Amino acid sequence: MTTENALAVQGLTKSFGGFALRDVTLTLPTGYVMGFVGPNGAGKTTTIKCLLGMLRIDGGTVEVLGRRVDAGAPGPADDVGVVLDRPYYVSDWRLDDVESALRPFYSRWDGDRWSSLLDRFELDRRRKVKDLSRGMGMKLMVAAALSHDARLLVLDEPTSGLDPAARDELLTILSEFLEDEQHSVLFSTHITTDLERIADYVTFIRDGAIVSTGTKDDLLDAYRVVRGGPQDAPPPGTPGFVSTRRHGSGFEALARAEAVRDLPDGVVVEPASLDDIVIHVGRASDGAFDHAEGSL
Amino acid sequence: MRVVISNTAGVPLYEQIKEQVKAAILAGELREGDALPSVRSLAKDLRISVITTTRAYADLAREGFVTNVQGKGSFVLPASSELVREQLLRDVEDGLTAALTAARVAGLGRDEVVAVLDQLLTIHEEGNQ
Amino acid sequence: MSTVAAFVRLDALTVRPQLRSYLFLLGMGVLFGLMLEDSSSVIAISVVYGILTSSYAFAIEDKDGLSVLYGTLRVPRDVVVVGRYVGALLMFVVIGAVSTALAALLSAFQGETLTATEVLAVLAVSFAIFAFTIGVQFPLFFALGYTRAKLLAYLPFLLVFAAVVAFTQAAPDAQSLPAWLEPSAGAGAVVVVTSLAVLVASCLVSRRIYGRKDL
Repeated sequence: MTTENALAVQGLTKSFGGFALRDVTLTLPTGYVMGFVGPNGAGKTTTIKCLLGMLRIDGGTVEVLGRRVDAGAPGPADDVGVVLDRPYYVSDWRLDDVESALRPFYSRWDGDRWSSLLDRFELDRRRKVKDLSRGMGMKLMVAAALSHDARLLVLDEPTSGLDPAARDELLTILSEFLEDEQHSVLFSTHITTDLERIADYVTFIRDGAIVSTGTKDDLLDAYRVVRGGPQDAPPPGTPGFVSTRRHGSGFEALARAEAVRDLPDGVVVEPASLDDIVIHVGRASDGAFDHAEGSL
Repeated sequence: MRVVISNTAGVPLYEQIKEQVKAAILAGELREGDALPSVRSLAKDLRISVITTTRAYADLAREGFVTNVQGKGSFVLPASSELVREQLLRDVEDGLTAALTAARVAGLGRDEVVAVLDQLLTIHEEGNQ
Repeated sequence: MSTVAAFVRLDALTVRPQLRSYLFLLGMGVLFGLMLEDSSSVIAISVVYGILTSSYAFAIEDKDGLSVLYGTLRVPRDVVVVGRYVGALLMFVVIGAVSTALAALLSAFQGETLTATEVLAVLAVSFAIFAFTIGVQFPLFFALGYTRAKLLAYLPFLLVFAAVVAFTQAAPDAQSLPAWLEPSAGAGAVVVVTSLAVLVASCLVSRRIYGRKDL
């Protein structure tokens, strides 16, 4: 079965333990990677739980691989693989037990694939889940997802607490996974460098609301980093300047691309990285739209 | 196909890919009818977004260097095709325009510029023999 | 139904690593039976351990975040609930059978006579205690999760225990509950049917609670 969109979320609202998702809308076309970024506590995990049918939504629609998610009537398990920051299996299970537990739930489970993935990831099947390092735990969840031939991988902060080598390995695995054009990935993280290259789409969430969603290139094209001397700083409240940091010898700001024309000579305008955007736009949310620091 | 991308070049990744494929075609390393790696396998190899490789290939097709056949892949077109000629001509014009700008800054007159060009052409021809 | 069976199997795998500690407890039960010189008490003690064990799945679900696993395996909420009750019933049957066999062995060893009616009466009372405790505990576990419900959930357990103690204190000459049931097959049947009804009602309540819950 082919669907145009791997994920289609429309106007999702959900109040949950003093936190609320407000009108969350995002679309991930089949065959692509969406980075889901935002500070901790912005609503990434709550959104993902709604996608997995773990939370009852208050309003809006959630479609995963063309199927409406409703906590009461879930679709086939095979299609979606989930990778969290730590394994959600019984910690006393050995890896062999994990296979024996999961297998009956998947119609497409491939035992040979499982074995070869454990070998490739150098996971010892006699090890217990609780004795795995962070990186090994991540690979275990990926191995399970690939063994039931998932078409959509949902990763929630998979790289938090991982060393750079393990993060790199995950990117390699995802790149291979995406070689099949029916495969899609939703990757939530607060470490945007993981996404800088591999993501096709980026959705940026903050305080339970979507700040922006679309192709990564469009997001990056929309902003510029601007630096200049003390006299060049834009006056507070200049339209298009998202966040300005003033210091003794000048200023640094994130601005909308259309706002950086007609700046004085000597002002540096550079492309913004995802990190720049997440940090500056996140900071703007604290009400510190324009702030000075370190002046004597 | 050789593609080396830089994260710090300040040039968008799709642009880097496009330029390198173009250079390979013009240098004869890629010949008419050669298949390029699929957008997905190139994205996998370089570990970059599929949208980026797709855009690079789309640009190459628009400039007449390759043709993207739905469901089959991308193939190199003959380097003498009309579009490529136009593209190359544009490159020549761009280069000469840059030279003329420099010449104006240096205060060189028309005759002097032509003399420099003549001289360079001679050196180039000797180099090719 | 096949998903319920699959889920019961998953639950069994979940608690399997705890099997060794369970067998240890069972061994203790046998020892107690020997000390009390009352073979049929092995059955009652085993069932008490059975009640404790039936909350293991909830405890591990809480500790290891298995609700995500159930979500990714697409186990319907109803199946989780029904599966837990079916699993508990199955466990009662297995424990009842094993402990009855043990009790028979013990009685032969100790040279006392253990009649079938006596065993049935003990099983019936054990089942009543089992059904009542589980019937109160499970909805609490489903509503609050094991960690938060733990204290509340052991309340019925203590209540039953206190009731038994009070009963023996108030009427020291009275026969034990099973002995009172023994001569009447009808009373035994009423106890079993009522206990089953308690479990079914509890299961329905749990389904309502868990079906709406945010995990």
